[in-house]
Order: sequence, then structure tokens, then C-alpha cells
Amino acid sequence: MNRIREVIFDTDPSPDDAVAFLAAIASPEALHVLAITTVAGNVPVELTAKNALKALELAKRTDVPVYAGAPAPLVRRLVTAEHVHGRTGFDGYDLPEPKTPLQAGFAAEAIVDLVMSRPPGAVTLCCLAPLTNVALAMAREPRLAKHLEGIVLMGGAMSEGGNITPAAEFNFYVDPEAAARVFDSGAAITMIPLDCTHQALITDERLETLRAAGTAVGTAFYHLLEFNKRFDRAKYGWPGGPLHDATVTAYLLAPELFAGRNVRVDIECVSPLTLGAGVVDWWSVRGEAPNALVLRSIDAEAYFRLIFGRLLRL
Amino acid sequence: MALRSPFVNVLAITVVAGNVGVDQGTQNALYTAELCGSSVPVFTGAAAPLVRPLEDAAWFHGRDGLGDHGYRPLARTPEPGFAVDAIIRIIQANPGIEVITLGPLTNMALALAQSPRLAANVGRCVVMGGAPCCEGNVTPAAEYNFWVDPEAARAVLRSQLPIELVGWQICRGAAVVNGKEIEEILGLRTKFAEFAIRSNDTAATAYQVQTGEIGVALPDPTAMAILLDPTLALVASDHFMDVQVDSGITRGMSVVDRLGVAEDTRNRGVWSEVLQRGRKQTVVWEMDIPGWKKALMQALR
Repeated sequence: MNRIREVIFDTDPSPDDAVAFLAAIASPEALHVLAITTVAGNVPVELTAKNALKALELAKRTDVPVYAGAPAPLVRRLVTAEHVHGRTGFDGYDLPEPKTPLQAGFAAEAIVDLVMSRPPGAVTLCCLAPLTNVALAMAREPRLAKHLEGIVLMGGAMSEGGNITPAAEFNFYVDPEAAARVFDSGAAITMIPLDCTHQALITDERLETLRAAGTAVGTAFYHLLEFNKRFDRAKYGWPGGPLHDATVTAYLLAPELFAGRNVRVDIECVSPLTLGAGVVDWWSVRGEAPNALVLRSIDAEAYFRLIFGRLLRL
Repeated sequence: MALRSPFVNVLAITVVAGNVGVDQGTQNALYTAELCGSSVPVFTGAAAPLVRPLEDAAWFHGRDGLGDHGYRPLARTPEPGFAVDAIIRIIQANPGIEVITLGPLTNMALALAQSPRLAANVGRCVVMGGAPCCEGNVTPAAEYNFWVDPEAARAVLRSQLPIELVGWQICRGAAVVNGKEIEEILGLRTKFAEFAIRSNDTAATAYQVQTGEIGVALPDPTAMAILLDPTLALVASDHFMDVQVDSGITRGMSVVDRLGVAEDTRNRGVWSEVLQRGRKQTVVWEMDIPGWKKALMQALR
């Protein structure tokens, strides 16, 4: 259990993505972040790469390499989520323009190189965004899926319903073909859908712990998550917005906080009405072999203690 | 044909899974380059379509794709690196370059996903694929290259690449190299002529079973002839185009807006991505048949 896991974060940084990879970077006793790869999603890829660098500079951890990846989904036109995260994806607190350069290579190539240069089962992909880069990496290296320890991803929605269409969660909706490829790849997938993340709301009380810490990182994320929260509060009437993406990090650090089931998941790539729906066969009515562990519940109190605790180490 | 033409400089051959697996395809490209005494770099690309599993065409072209005669390269090996990176690098370094695709469009779709602005650097992109306004060859609705990776075909047709589509329909009928012409080609008594006919013998048999036409249908060389000599395209017109990826029955079907109705109010919704992201692409409808056959003979001399 003491092995330090090597991980790559594939992400389209809005603040909850940044919390996810910073909390991992702040957990060197358990996780070694090999790289951050960015993709078009919440905002265009130029901005997601910049936001990753901003977050790393804030945390003074520019030793972690950042690679920019796919500017658009595999087949479809890009859909973004400025309505939630603001124009920059990082609205709510002005972080300085990053000075750190991006790495030269393409994200999908970096994923292949980092994974395949290590023994089988060494690397876990942490996916917080549309799965375009991961699908491109699998196209580049057909052995990639089986060479990973696994993929832990935030995406999909079951009985919670969708957040970008009535049927679909944003990450799957933006690039359903990429998601389908990843779920068909044979990789060991852990999927954290909205059903789980919507139990983890950033209440005022939880948010206050960030401000109270009085650190640069705590203050910045207090304001960034506060901005995020406004959308969810206005839209859903919740006491706070969900902290979606850091569930991926929390699962790697403390899987006992989650409960789920091994099931078959398929992605709808055809119907306009339900495009990008992750169809979870919770009751195994099709009798197909499971391809994912779907986590459906979370101990929210312990989750925030863990993740904000790690974030405030920085 | 291109390697033997004094008028073009082939910068690379990039191989994709299709008729045969990508490694076999790479060996076939290397063998053919060796036959021509060419040192053109050959790169291996995608081993499977974008989303779907590969369904090869061994039933048509033989297990090795060249009629199972044991053609193997003697000395040459593929270049290191992924074909998609080679495509991007070479197109970026050569503004106005002409590109021809003779297989499923997976590599090109991957290149566009990685680098969408690539399209602006391409002067011409001849695509052998689709069956515009006619029946297909692998299903009643679809031509093989589009059918096997319809998502890739869609991504490429919805891009800004300046495409000239050479569909299956113009490679049939009078364009087929008939029995008499096969004799003429073999009469050239060159290794190129012998290879051209022999490597296609299982395809000729399969084609006869499928269509009742006797001879060798050569869609890829037909497209190449048009790349090398654009005047061989006698009738062509520009249209919005898309590929069906959704339906089982019409998977991979090339849909051409021949009557220009895609922009009508009732169609704007369904065609919105094509109208917003894509451009009108050129579809070749008729070709100079004697000219094509002359070009083929010339190349095999």
C-alpha cells in the first residue's frame, strides 16, 4: 500500500480541475504527478493550458510539465462551458499571466511516451475533461490501454440527469466518440459520475476553511470557487457548487470514501436527444462484461477535509 | 504511378489500417517502393478506425492485401514515428502541398484533430472514397473507405481541406481495366506491369462476383491519375457533403447536396455543422477514360 502511484492529469482547467491536480501534487507520499496534459473543454485549449500553468505558478510547482493537447473533439465541433466558468475558465480571481512555457510536445504523444516508457501497470490516467487526448493517445499506441494501471475519470450521469443536456454530462457530451473509444479500450476504468459529485457541495462553511488559512493558494481558490458557486446556486438553488474533479484525486488517496459497482458502460454517439449519455447497466440487464467501476456515493465531509487539507499544504 | 512519375516528388507514404492491418499495409507499401527503386519514407499510422474496430477487406484483396503471392520487402523498413505526426510535419513544412488519400481517413482525421489549421496549408486533397449518388461496394449504401471509418470520413469532409472526391462510381464500368487491356499491360513485360495485374488478381475475381464486370477495377490508381493530371476530371462540381455515421443500414454513406438544398430552412438544423465548419467540396462525376488508361500504361512501362 505504500507504493507511490505515478499519475498523469488530463484536464481542461477550471478551478475544480486545478484543485484536483494541486491536491495530488501536494500528496507526494502517495502520488507522483508525471505531467499535466490539457485539452479543449470548459474553454478552448489555449486557455486550459494557460490555466494549468497559472495554477502551478500559484502553487510554485512549475516543475510539473504541462503539455497542450487537442484543440477540438475527434469528430464534432467544440462545445465549451463559459456559462459556468466564465470567459477564461478561471474567472473570479486574477492570477498573473503565466511565465512558464508549455512543453514542446503534443499531449497525446506525451501520454504515450510517459506511459510506455514505464513498466506495465505503472501509470494511472486521471481524466477531468473530454477524453479527446486519451483517445488520440490510444490511436497512436494501441497497447496503451492495457499498459496503464487504470483510468480514473470524472464523467457521465446516471439518475442525476445531465448538466449540459437533459441526458448528458459535459465531458462525455463534448466528445462522445472519444469517450466511446476509451470505454471500449479494455483499460481498467473508474468512473465518477454527477451522481457522486453532486453529493460534494462547496458550502459556505467548507469554502471558508480556504479563506481562513490565509495562504496564497487558499485565498485564490476561495475566490475562484466562490465564482463557480454562483452559477450552481443560481441554477439549482443549492447551498454551493459541486467540487467535481477533485473526486478523482480523492479516490486515489482514499478509495474508502466512495462506494460503487463494477458495471458495463456504453456511450451514446448517435441520437441528438441523448448524445453523450453514459449508459450505465447498473442492474446488468444486458449481461455484458463490466468495463468500469462506477462510483455512486461519497463521504462528502471526509472528502472536503482530505482535499482542502492537501490543497492547503501548498 | 506517383513514384514513377517524373512530375511529382513523393514526400511520404503514410499507412493506415484498412484493406489489411496497418503492419501488413506498411510491408506492402515498402515492397512497392522497393519495386520502384524508391527511397520514399514510409510511416505506419493508425491501427484501427477512430472509434470502431477494424473490419478489413481480406475477402476482396487477399489476406495480405496483394493477392497472397508472398510479396515482401527485402531491405526497407518503416521510418520511426507515427504517420500522423509525419503528415502534420510535412504539410506544415510544404505550403500548397498536394495530398491523396487511398484508404480509410483515420490518419487524416487524427492529424486534423491534433492540428486543425493544417487544412490551410494543403493545396489539393484528392480523396478516393465514397459512392456519391450511387450504390456502394461494401454495403448497398457505402464504399469501403468511408464505411470502415465513417467518423474519420465525416471529420475530414467537415474540415476546411480542399477535397476532390473520386468516388467508387467513376472507377467502374468503362474505367475498369478489361481483359484486352490486361493483356496489353502484361505485354509491356515490365515488373511494374506484372505486379499491377498479379497483385490484383483476387480483387478481380471478387469484383466479377460482385458486379458481373470482367476486369480489374482500380479505384486508387484512378484517383492517382486524377491527382497527377487534373485534366482527366472532365465533369466535377462543388457541394456540401457529409457522411452517415449513425444508421446501421446507411453507415458510411456519402451524402452529396447535389441539388443545393442543405442551406434551406428545413435542412439547416441537420446540416448545421457542415455549413458552419465545412466547405463545399469538389466531386468528380466523369473522367477521361482513355486518358486514365494511357496514364496507367505509361506508369507501368
